[in-house]
Amino acid sequence: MKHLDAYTTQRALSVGALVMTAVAFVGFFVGTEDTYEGRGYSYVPPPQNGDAPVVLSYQERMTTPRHVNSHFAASFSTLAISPEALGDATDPALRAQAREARQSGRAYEGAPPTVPHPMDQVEHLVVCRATVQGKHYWSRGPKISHERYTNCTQCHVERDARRPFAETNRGPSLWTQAFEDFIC
Amino acid sequence: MPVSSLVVTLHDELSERMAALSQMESTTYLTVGEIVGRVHVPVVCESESLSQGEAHVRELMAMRGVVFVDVVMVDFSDLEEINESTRERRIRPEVEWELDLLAESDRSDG
Amino acid sequence: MKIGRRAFTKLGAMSVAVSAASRLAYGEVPERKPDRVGPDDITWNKAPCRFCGTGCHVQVGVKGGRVVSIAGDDKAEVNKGLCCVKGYHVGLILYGRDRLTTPMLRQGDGHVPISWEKAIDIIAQRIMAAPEKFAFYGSGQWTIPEGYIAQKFMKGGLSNNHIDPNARLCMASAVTGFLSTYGVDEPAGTFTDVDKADVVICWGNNPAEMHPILFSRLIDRRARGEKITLIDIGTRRTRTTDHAQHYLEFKPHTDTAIANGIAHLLIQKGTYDKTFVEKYCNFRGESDPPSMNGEAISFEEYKKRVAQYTPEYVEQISGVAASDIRMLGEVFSNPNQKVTSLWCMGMNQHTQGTAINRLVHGVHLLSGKFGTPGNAPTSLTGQPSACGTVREVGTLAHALPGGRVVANEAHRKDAEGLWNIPEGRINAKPGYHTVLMWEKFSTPTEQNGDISTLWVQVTNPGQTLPNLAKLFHPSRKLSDKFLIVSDVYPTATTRHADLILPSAMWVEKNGMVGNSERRTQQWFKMVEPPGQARDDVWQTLAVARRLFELGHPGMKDKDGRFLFAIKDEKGGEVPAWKWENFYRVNVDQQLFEEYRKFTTYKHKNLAPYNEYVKARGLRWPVVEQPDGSWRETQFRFAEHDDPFVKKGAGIQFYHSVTKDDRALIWFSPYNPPPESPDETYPFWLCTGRVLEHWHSGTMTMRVGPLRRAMPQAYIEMHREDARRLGVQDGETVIVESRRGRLEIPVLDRWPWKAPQGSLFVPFFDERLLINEVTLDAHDPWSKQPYKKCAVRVLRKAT
Repeated sequence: MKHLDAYTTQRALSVGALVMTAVAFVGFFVGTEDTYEGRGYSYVPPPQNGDAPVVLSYQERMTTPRHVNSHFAASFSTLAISPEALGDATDPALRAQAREARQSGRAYEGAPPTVPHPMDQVEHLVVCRATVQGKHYWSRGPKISHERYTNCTQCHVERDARRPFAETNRGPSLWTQAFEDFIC
Repeated sequence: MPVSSLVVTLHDELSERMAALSQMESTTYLTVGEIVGRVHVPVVCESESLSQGEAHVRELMAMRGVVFVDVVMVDFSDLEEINESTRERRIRPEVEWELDLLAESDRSDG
Repeated sequence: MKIGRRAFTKLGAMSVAVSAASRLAYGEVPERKPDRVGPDDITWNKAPCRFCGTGCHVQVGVKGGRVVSIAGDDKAEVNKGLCCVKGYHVGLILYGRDRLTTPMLRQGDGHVPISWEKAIDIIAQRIMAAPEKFAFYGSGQWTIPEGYIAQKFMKGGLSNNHIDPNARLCMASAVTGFLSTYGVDEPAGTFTDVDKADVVICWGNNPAEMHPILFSRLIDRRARGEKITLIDIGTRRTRTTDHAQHYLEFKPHTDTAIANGIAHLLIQKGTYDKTFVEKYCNFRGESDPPSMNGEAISFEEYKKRVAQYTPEYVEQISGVAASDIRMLGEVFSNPNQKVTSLWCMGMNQHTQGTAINRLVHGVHLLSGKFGTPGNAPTSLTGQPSACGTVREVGTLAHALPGGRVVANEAHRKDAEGLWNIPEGRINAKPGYHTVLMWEKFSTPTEQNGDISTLWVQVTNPGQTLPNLAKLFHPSRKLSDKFLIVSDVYPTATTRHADLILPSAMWVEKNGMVGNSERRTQQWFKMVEPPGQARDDVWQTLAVARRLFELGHPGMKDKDGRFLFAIKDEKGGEVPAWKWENFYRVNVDQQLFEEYRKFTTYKHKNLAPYNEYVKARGLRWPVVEQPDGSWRETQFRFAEHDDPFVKKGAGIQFYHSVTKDDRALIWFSPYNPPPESPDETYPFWLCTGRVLEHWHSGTMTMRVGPLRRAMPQAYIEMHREDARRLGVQDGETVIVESRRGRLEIPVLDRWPWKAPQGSLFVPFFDERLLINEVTLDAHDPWSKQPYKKCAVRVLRKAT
């Protein structure tokens, strides 16, 4: 067998991690969407201490170099998806699919996705679990697939306001349609 | 293809400076910027490989009217692989010649 | 123009080479650092976020002349690479489809496009006709140079002090609180305290939604196993409450009693910090008749006055259980616990705003929870430059730059000297504060309504002023009142304006701002504004120049030269008032360097412009070191960090009101609110903000993800109240006060519970203007109006 050098190995791992993250993402969101529509959102208890990796402190963030995906294997074992089931990581179709899945719900490449279910910042550490320790595959990418933070609503909003609103158009709105350029 | 940012320091003498500028401008792989102050010229150098880039810098240093070349930055972000080991540098003729000399002296010592 | 990747790389490489060559040639870097070019040909550059006063830095990705991406800035100490949801979407605010792109003049019921030349001339002619009847209404979103040029134009040019900002509605009470306690404005601590505190108390404050990054910075510490106690003292549950160990719900307006209750316990139990108080504090009470400076009282007298505020008495007034008041007393009594207080609108938009600010400072001073990392009373700001522009440049009716006031002769002389204008030009009488300015503008001229032309920049008073029916709408029916509005989108204000000027925003222009922790920040223009939109600095400059041409004497300095001479590097004057020349030189830099000279007087020293180009903001005082570097200050008045404190002093309040380096511990009694619920108007109404939108929604309502997440305003009501009124969730009801009414849908089940008898309405929705209903009663010292009022809720006839 041809011996792979470190650079190629790293690249292969990166692509693999990207695909796995994306599939995990889709799986997670699709799963909760169904749950919500069908039986109401089911509460998943937050992970206990030690169950999820510890976040860096603000002080450490300044000085700690960020390693690319240094623990990715740990997070995927908790998701119980076998890496073999993900298919060929180099398949361009699969990569395109993963990229598309990743982009849905984002205002631009790298924006935090909107969340397709009701959420508040305390109960949904599970969201963070699903996105823990993915790969920043774009070198400057914002911190998607991030380490665990405890305040989901810091970065994420719900995709649709599932509220009992009947639009009360009292007078003309100045900003109708102004936003539609941004499909998300 | 690597792109490097260089600062070329020119000679104080006007005629020397003019000679260097005209020669640099006629060199295809160089893009010459506006002279800063009296003697410092920002230059962008393109090359096929890192080693060729180094060779270009040596050629620049050898030009008439050039006093010194500072390499500020080398952008090789679009290189697929960086496997240009130092070994490649050693096989360039002038270095080979130096190595031969070294080998010679080794032998004589022995 | 499309640039290939290769050409782009070469461009980047050339700018690096140029920068290096100039360092070699002149021993310095050129002022503008080369932009970094990333993958996909995106150029990245730094800018502070456009929204709140936290002051996060973002990296702005530009491609093809458009902002295409936003990333948190790793190098920024405030946010360490993170952003909140508004911050991540900040780039989209530039691209709403209805940007204003041309000057427009009212004609009949609509507006017609006119040229910039004509627009500038109209403004100049109106000012020329009656300079004393002109007023400038600005903003805490004014950049520092925008505020500075407006300030100099008004006070140094027109001898007119009618300039006030929207920040009057936002943090004026914090200013009076700081001034009357320390003799100088702005917090002593910084956000570092939030990283170090053991206990954080939110006084009527909801940082989880209003300052999300600061809040995450606090609660992320828990994920590291650190123990932080969060105490939420509020009038309604919020997302902040979700994270708090203690939620103390109090009756609106009674926070003064709570603060007095803590002071009482500290004294009664003898657990106040005796050494700190004896060394660094004096006592003060309210005088009769009341005055901003009050009267000196002894410690014994202070003791006597707070004695009344026993936990049981405080419970009776505030509704907070006596045991919880005791818990607060314990928190401040424990010498081993570091305590930081945070507050914003809850304490400031208050008819006793100055008093409650003083009292919270007082509790910290009395307990010695001051000056060491983690111990600080820290007020937050809602706008990106409420501190940098309004408080430091002093764009308030009574102020001059750098902590000076118009009423003080020496201060006026200082300013006249620095501006090189004739002595006596600055008017000694303070101008109209916000509420009064709009009242005068809304009153017919013959009834003493002596403001006839009003220029609004970077704010939306048609939506955000209280009691709109009194303060905003009347002038629109008076033919001799002329409203000029500079803005980026159509708003509730531009709709009623006589003249609309299209402005450049955020990274479409150069800018500098100052955040809540005294951090001054800078960014460069990165993209072109749309159509004919232009910088607000330029607009003011162009009007000044037109007035100069018309012969207004105030537009000349002592030597007869134009007041705003912009120079090129050789010292020649650049006609920057012509738009095509405006970016030939860095006008922001020149204005900032001029302004910087004002800042040493109150020890708010700023560094040269180029230091801010390099940094992700610097916290003043920024002082030059022997090696030529510039050092910022995290803890003011504390010897371990503040360079202006005498060696060995420990703590030194070097701008002390009493001139003896001591701060003042105030006593102010609890006073009932101007309007309380009664039989006819049985509900408390509180207005405020939501996570998804920023202020009047002009920007965030044009950002798809944010608008879809929170599409409209609502009224939050307790389920029990809804049941009693027979109101269904989602039903549209009428909310009515003594001043106005509004139809709005009810939200009673999710996500939060307003307490019984209390309602909450966010003010971001221009279709549902809750300020038709609110009250314009204000604090006597800060002139800041009140957040709450009494209303009733009626079902619509079915």
